Amino acid sequence: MKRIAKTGAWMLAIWMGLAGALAWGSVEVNKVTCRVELDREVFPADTPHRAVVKVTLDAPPPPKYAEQRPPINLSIVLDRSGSMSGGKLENAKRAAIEALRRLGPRDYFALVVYDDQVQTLIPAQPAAKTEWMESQIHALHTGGGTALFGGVSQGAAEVRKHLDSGLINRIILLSDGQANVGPSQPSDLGRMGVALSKEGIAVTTVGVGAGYNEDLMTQLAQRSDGNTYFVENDADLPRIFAAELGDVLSVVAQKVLLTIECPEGARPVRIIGRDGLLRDNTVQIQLNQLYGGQEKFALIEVEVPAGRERDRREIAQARVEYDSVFSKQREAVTAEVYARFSHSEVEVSASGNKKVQMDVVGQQAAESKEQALELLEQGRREEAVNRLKDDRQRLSSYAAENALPAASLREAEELETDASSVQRGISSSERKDMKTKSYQRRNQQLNQ
Amino acid sequence: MKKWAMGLLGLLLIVPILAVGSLGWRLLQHEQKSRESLTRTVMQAQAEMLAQKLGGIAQRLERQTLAELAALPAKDRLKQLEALAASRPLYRQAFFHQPGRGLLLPSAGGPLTRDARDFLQRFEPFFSGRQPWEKAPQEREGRTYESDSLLEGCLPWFDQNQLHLLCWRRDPESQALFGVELELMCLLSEWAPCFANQPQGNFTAVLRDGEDQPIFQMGPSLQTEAADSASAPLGPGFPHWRVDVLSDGRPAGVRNLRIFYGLLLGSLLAALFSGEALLLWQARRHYLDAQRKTLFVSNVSHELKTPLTTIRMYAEMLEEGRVPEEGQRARYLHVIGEECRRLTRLVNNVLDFSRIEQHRRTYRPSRVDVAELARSLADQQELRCREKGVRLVREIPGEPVWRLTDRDALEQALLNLLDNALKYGGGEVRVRVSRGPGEAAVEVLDRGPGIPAGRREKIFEKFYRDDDTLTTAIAGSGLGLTIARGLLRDQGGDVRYLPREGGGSCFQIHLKENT
Repeated sequence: MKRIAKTGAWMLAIWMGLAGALAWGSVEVNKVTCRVELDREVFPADTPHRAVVKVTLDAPPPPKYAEQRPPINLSIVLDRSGSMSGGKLENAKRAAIEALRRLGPRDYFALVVYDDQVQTLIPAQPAAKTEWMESQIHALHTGGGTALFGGVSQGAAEVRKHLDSGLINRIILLSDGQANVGPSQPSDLGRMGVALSKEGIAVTTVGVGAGYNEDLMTQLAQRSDGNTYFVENDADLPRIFAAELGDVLSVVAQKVLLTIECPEGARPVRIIGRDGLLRDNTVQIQLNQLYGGQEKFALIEVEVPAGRERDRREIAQARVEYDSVFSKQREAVTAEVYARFSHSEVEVSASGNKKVQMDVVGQQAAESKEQALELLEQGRREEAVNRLKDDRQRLSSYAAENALPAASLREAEELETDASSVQRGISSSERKDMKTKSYQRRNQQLNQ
Repeated sequence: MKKWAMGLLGLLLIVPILAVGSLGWRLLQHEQKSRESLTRTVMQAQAEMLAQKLGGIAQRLERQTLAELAALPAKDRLKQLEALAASRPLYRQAFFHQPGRGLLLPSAGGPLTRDARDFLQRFEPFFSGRQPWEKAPQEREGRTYESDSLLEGCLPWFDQNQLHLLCWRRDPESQALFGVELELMCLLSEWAPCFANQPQGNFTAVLRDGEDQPIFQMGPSLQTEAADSASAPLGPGFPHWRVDVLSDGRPAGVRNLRIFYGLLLGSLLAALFSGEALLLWQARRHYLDAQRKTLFVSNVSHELKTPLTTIRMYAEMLEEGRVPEEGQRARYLHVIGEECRRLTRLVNNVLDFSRIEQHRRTYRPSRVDVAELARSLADQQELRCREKGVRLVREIPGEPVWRLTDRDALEQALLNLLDNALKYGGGEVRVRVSRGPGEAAVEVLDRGPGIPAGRREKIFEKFYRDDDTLTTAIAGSGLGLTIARGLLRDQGGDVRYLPREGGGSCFQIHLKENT
């Protein structure tokens, strides 16, 4: 009897423990986690060294039930300039309807169209009575020029109508041409992207065909932390919109601010592959949104002062602040990383973190491509080719030195191929592909 | 009425019509001009209103910025300013300049971002002291809101032809100078909704920057160069920026008005002209009618008088016994009889004419042998023909030609045709009767002068005589053919004129087939 009671008590304890762990887990499951790693754990002692700090944010999976996810505040901005006539506009309409149908009655939907002027076809409103909205979309026809800036501005104005309601704000911009009314420099639209990201509005850009300005579209997406797509075949538009909306529907954190501080004499030198603020020993990176289950990371090159044998020193502290869609509050999580120092070369080389090193290669390759394209834009073809070749050399030897898997080596070798295509002159479509892919790589975009 | 009088009447009517037309046209021109000037005023007002609205939004944002700068606590100003710039979409770049210590923000202490580098390059003239922050009030391009204190302001600055807006403030104690550069893109995006509606009227509104590039546009796209435009500057914060309101031609209102007035004037003139034409036509018709009636009366009087004179003369001679010879007496009596028949024919014609005119003539159709009728009529006229020295040729078939018609009417019509032929017919008159179906029933042919082509239908009009002078040698009322046609047409038949081969006339009597 005593034994039975004892067993019962044990089982009860185990059950309670399990339940407690599950409950604890369920709380933890809805939080963003932060990991900080170095490209190697052990550094040569007594010499200053350059290290790469990788801060990884792991987003929790999206809410399981539709009513748990935060409402979406979506504004689709469609180009209806003359060049969109025919299949392009028809597919864009289908894509917009596809997006609209994925929304629920709690979400807001707006549709702005532009040619040389801007028109709000559907003002921001709950996506409840969709028949009227769909008929509006069906009735769309093509017009004249391309007032892209005005279109985005008006799309933003529609999103702003419901900005304070704890929604996921998103503009999807579709264009197939060069902006010719209003500000049309890529940097202008980039600045617009910065301003919008400060308001918590991300702009996803979808470029169709070979005629649009990919610099402008990627800048706008990049600076507002949205996605970017290059759609060569307009029949893919509905699929792209659906994928993009899948992303938006799974947003779990917004207004993400990543702060990395380097204590004990380490000093950040540059941020690889991302824009951010770098001052003294602090780096600040802003991300607009994190999607459920997504892993986003930032790489920071850090100067590590000389350390003595067997020293253990803190290299970086990371702090992530974000608006959680689960708790509807601003949450924060911290993590830090330490390095050790050793005279043993074997220990040093064995401590390499392959995953971080592979990311370094990938991000630097993407960066290299974008810089080469920029040089090419300025007519400095030779420099662009040399940049790609030099970086190929550097990254290949980095990959070889650290005995990285073949994938990294291939990524580095790809730069050689790019160099030869830049040398012979790349087509507009190749350029778009290169630009979009390198941005997607740098931004760790889910859908590509 | 004389022709000159009618011409004068026409002229008198045309003059006021033309006067009304030209007055209407001038009024229309005037109306159009005033409409156009009104439209231009409206366009100008729209441009100014829009410019004022945009300027107002910019000014509100600038004021908010200056208020935020002023509210920064002196103690922790640098950090707070930086945080402010990082969170506000409108702020592009913050700066902080401390006398003695130089520029603290965007600062050394880390590599500058590209944006910060560009910022320092743009505003280098200010930070290096080559350009004064505050100018005397009359020199200021931008706005200062506390003009006397020279403590704060917003200044527009052009760098590489691009406009930049800087809001700054000076701390009166520490003399620290700080502020933010406004994000022009954000400001523009605030303006965008002002251009998302259609402007009133058929106008196009365009916001243009200092380089004349369109920033926003609303209203219909202009395919061609604008015909009319109004423009308003955006104000001191935005040198050379302006709002243009354009129209692609005459505004719709004026265009429609012109069409309306044009149609009105056109229809008025058309009505006046057609009224005048009708009036003149009526006057001429009455004139001609009256003339023919006068002629008819004198003709009929003449026609009556001639046989009467003969009858009276021969009757008196017989009465007084001045004709001793028996043969002579008989001849005189015959003449009197002939003249009486002529009178009867004439009176019958006149009576018939009035009956036909008033559709009171009654017909009694019966089966008539047209050949027999023609033959007897020819026999009757044989003597008259001989007296006149005319050869009467008969082409009448021996067997009967039956038609359903009023015998008297046909007889009178044929008699009138024979009468005419005797009067004008020259040396030979031929009477032909044909019998085939669809063919002319009776033809009367002569070798007279014939009828000229233009008058072949006119001869059937009442009172018409081809030679209508009173002095003509041939007497007549001008009713014979009119009556003949009237009698036959009333019964479904007709009389037609054809020129005869070899000269002369051919009158055909068509009779309705009877089966």
